[in-house]
Amino acid sequence: MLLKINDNKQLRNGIILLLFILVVAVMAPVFATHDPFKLNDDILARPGGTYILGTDGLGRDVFSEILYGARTSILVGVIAAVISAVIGIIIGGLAGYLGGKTDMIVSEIINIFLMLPTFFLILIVVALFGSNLFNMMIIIGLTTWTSNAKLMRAQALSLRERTFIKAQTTLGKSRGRILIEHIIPNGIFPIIANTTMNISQAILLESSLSFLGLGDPNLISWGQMVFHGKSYLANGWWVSTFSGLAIVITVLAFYLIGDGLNNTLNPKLQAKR
Amino acid sequence: MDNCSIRVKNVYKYFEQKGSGSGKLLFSEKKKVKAVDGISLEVRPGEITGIIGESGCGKSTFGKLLIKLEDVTSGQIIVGDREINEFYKNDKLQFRRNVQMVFQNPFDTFDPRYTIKKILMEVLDIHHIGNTKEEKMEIITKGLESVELKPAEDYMDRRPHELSGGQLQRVSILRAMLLKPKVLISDEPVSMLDVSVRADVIKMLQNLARENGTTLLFISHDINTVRYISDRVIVMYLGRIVEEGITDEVLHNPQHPYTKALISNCSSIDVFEKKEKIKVDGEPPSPIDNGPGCYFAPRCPFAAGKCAQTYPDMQKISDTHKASCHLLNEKEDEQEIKN
Repeated sequence: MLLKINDNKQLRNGIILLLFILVVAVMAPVFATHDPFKLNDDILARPGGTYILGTDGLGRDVFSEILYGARTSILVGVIAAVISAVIGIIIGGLAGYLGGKTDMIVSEIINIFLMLPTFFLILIVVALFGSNLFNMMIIIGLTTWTSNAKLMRAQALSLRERTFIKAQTTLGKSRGRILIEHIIPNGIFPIIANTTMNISQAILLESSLSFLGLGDPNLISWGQMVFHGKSYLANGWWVSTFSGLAIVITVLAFYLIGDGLNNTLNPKLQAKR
Repeated sequence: MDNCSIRVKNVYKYFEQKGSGSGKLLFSEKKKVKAVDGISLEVRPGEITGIIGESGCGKSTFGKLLIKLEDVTSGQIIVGDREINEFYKNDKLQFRRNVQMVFQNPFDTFDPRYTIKKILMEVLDIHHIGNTKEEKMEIITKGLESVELKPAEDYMDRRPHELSGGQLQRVSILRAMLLKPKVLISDEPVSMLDVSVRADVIKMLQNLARENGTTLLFISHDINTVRYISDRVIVMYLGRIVEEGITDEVLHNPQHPYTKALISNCSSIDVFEKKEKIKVDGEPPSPIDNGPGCYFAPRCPFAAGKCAQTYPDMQKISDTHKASCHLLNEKEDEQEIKN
């Protein structure tokens, strides 16, 4: 397995990048130069000197904020995307493999969810149940599973007609086992790629909510920083830029891993290389 | 179940065509593709039966009906002494143990993520064959060696894409034979293999079937392979059987014009053999609306007026040979046409 990872540059770089981000997130208190919540006396200090990446409009140290923000973003992104992937795979797999009426009903449910204005639904839920991190992860996961379900359904529909699935039927495997052991593992690759995109989407969604004042006020998040820095763009470009870069790097790491995994896990692509 | 004959009575399989309903939204009658259009036959236990016909004649669908990958529209299939729908309902695993299938495309018959060992181990696990892991390993090792994949250890940890088509088809046959099925359906098992390995695979299939007394149904469009392997031959055209009988009788003395055409177009190594090819024009008509007459009549070089009006009944030529053609009664006419 380690050799395989080494073979694939994308996957290797992605994992190194993600490991780096994870270390930063876990070791934030060690690396941080200031208390990220502390309002320092220097407002909008330029990068360099005591403040490595400068301070924001309230005098908080941007470098320390970014370190602590990594925790929030990764937590929200990963858990929300995993919830969405699990729901999507189960529902899409069932619909595609069983077909017939199940498929019809599930497809309609997916359509209903696609029609819902997701962002406003999230707004309402957060407004009603309070804006803590847990609520945010659940609601993002529950509203973004449709793309995964559609992908998985399409995969299951085409896999169902493949000879090896029919062969498993003739060998006496139950439908549930075929779904879990053959349809899902063989059709999961596009969903892995999609989940990495979902992670970045969830990070951005969390940022948007933070901007509207619905983020968790007790946490530091990159989204909050970007939107806080927006008003100081003219005389303090560093606030938004560095927090934005942090988002880009994190999204890139997940993307590289997703694409690399896709290439490594798929034996057919593997044979071609 | 000692008796492993197959009896098929008036089996029909229609597929509804999507979106072919005429104008009206409701009550529009959907057109039906008659894939299998009334087949009756009997296969004796331990016999190797070849089914030939061109592509689209329903031979693969018929194979799928026998193994319950498709359900019959009407009719009855009896394997041994049990009707297969009931058999399947009562004990799915036992039905699977009794009826097995070898598929056409060996490159797609196995889950690409599994190793050969895992593929075979799974079959033993599902059907609770062998008690301990060692016992199962022994069965697998012996099996692999019995299908000429030696030494077995070399193949165990490989994945399907690391094996050649011939090797994969051997594993596929082994997987089916691990269950010691009474009936084995093989749907064009060698059509995707290199010519050089076909003979070996067919020979292996034949030997395994004979050793275990398995009733083998060999579906193919290649007359040469069918002649080589089978005791009896069934010729299908557009979902119906047009001729059946002992292999030698049918292939040396074909009675139905379609069989004649098939055989005359068969390639032969003997360059000096003088043979006139019977040309059959056109594509086979669609199996949707066939009209009342003989299905082959529009393409038949010998068709007479009667042929377009009624479908001919099966007629006995000898105890072991049957064909359905109007022209059989008019042997003299036929002779004239021939000369």
